Amino acid sequence: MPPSFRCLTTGLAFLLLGNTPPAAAAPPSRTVPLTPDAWTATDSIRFVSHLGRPALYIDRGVALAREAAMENGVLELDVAATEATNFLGVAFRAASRRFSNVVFLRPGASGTEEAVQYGPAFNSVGVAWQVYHGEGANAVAELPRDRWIHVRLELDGPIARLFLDRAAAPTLVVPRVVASGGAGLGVWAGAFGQGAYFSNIRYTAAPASHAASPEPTSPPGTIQHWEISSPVEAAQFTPEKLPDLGGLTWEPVRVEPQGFVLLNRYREAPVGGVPRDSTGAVMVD
Amino acid sequence: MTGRIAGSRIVYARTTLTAASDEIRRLEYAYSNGAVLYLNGRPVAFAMNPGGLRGLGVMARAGDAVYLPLRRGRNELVFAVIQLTGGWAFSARLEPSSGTETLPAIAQVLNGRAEVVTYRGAPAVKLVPLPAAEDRDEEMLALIDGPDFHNGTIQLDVAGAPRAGVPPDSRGFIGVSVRTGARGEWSEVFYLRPTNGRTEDQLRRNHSVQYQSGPDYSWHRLRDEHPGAYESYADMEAGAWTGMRIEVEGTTAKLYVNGASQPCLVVKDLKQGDRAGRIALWAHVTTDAYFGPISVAPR
Repeated sequence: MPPSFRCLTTGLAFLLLGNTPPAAAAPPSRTVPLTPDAWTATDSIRFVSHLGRPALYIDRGVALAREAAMENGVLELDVAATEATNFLGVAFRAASRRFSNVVFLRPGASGTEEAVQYGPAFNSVGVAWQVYHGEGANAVAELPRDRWIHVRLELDGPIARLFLDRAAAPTLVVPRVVASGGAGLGVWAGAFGQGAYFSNIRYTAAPASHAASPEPTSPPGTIQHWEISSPVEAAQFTPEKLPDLGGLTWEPVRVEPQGFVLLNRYREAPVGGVPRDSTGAVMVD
Repeated sequence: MTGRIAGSRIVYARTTLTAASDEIRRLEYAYSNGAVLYLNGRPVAFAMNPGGLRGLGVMARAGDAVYLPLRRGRNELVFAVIQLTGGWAFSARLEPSSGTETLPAIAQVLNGRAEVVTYRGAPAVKLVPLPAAEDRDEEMLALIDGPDFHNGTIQLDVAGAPRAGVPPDSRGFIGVSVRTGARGEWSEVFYLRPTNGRTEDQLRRNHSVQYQSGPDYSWHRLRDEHPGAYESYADMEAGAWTGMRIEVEGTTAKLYVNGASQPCLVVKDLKQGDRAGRIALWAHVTTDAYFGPISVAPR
């Protein structure tokens, strides 16, 4: 919206409502109520008191704030892990509960490079963490359990910056958020259960600054043209032999700027963990 | 050990690699969580994430590599990408070829026009019927630039499948005229019926490859007068890049499909006799017709 039009609508609201107009330059900050009607969740959601504050708890999955929409701006909230929590984080630029971007914390990896994780969660509540890792997707942080940790996420065009516990410098800068085609906001607790608490959730939309963020490039020789098939379940898979490819349904896909095909964009991944034997090795029959 | 992992889901991804000659090239690849690679239908690598997912199991952008024995022309590379949890992705980069090849330059097309497109990951000449011809039983003939061809070997890759909405007995007819009149007034055509390659109807299978010679020796005349003598079987898949090699000597021509060591069709009495002519791409108007680079070795 051009500034002049913003002033006009603000003035109009003043005339209609008879209220004192808000300060012209400050965009409104919105608080998401901690009430059932304000949220839509993939799994169970509870509204409780935790560590002395009103909070929401999700056991797993995603809960989106029904009315919230913010493509660019600042999301702030407090998050608390219990002794059992695996993962806890925020979903943003959500097109749906199962198509969003996520920044999350791993309390079990506190103090390590895996403590903070960014990644898209497409066709799933699970994050593509194996594909987005290292610089720009992971960061070190201290993540105590059983206390509120303040989270501030700035979304600025392609860039996302995560600040923890009111630090002046970002813990993680994501140079290029994967386009997810939405503006929804919410909280996230992973695909496997043992959830977390969230409180004091508010956001302030703001225009992007158009800060420069160079487009990644794929290495020379990267194969750019692929078609992918309909999915095949493990029981029908014959690794040593190709099936009749003409019997599958095919669609062309695009290669991400870094050069890989993100299949999560097009296909729903199976839910669940990795089958392991008693030694922890992956079971392969 | 089958390589199957309980609870996993698999997507196949395919692309086309083009080689100027038979050559071995290195392919680097990355995957999450696992991958099986196939070249021209045969498995060439099985890979699971480092540490078998016991550790971080992240997708390294470079590392694993396989040497691919590419054959001249089109090669089909398929990834089976195995997914267990989290990110599902793959990538591949191929070291540059030692040689180059170019698409055939089209001088003139009868009943159609030629477009340069990308088909299944490879540059291709596509023949598109003219509106006046597209609903009729017509053939497209695209004369390529170059000297007349007499004896020697012609190799090319073709991909043909019936266009949407064409009659059900359309087979994706596609091929090449090895010797052709300067204006297309006569031809010596070897062509494929790709949808016959995988049918269970044995009579149709027997009609997978065909010789005909315009204007007088159509496929049906040859079939009527000499049943089974000018057609045969070869394995092929509709819409897939399919290699054709034709060796021509005097009045004899031998057709080899998909790199076979033995011909699937031998014609010892080319109907135009021992004469030189233009080379032309050929397809029926009912065919979605794609042609890759052509190589000609006169003798």
